[in-house]
Amino acid sequence: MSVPEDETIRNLEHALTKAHRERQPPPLEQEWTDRVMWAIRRQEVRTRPVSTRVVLDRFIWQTASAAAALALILTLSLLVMSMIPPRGGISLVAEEVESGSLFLE
Amino acid sequence: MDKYGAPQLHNHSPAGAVSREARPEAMRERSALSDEELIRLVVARDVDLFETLIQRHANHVSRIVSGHVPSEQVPEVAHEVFVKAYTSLGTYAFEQPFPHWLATIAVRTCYDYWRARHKSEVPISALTTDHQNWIDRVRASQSDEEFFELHRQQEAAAVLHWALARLSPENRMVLTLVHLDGHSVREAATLLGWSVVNVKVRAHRARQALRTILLKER
Repeated sequence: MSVPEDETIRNLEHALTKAHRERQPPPLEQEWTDRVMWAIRRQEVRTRPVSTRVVLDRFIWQTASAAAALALILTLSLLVMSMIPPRGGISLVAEEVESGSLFLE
Repeated sequence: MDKYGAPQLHNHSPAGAVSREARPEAMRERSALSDEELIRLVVARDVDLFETLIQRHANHVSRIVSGHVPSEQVPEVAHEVFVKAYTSLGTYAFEQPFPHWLATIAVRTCYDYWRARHKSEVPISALTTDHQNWIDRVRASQSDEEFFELHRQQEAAAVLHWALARLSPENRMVLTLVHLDGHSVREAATLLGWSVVNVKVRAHRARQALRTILLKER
């Protein structure tokens, strides 16, 4: 005995609906929760509004080592320069200039 | 309470919550807080408390998402749902229960998932001989016993997945919500953020489209 078309399609729809309603969703474990929280915390850090003071603090700390290195180089170079005696040529010229009369008589 | 209401069991004893030995006291205190209290604290920048909300509603979201996307994609889509929920938590107005609000985000995220897949034109798998045989047996089944045995088989889920993959993302969402989940047109419209008329028209068209797809497999 053949089943009418309407009834067959209704049977099919009914079977599919029941299969859908009896589905077993996969369990979401603690590891999954940890991953979600990690993503949320990361996003929170990225989107958190930053105050000017924090930006300034961050800038100072980021540039502190470079500034210290530059200050050290400048100090050392000044120290080295002060320890080198003045060269003879320059002092002779200086003496000649100083000994000459300023006005022609 | 409709299907998307939070199960009573999970309101005070979060399912899936793993007690952490390092801070069991803190966990107990968190569990005692209501959803509303937790949300207010999270919005006030206590991000860690959002974990309790996740643990409390993970099964609820997993159940909704598994009705719309393939089972292997459920963790990924549910992940996206909670990240979206956290991002828009400031807009939650406490006018509807939190599980309902979460259900709206879950359904819309699933819709976005199918729209993205539809745009990228992912190839649709073909129906195997086993699946075609299953369809023929369901059509021919005349006794209730035979029918109940058939809907439990794995082929049922595979055939449903195959048929839904042939629908547009819009038809697929409406058909799943209205015909498979059994939501009213108004509930489906609220979940999707569409007009009632739009959902009503789509529900009719989607059912016709599904019937055409199933009838072609003869």
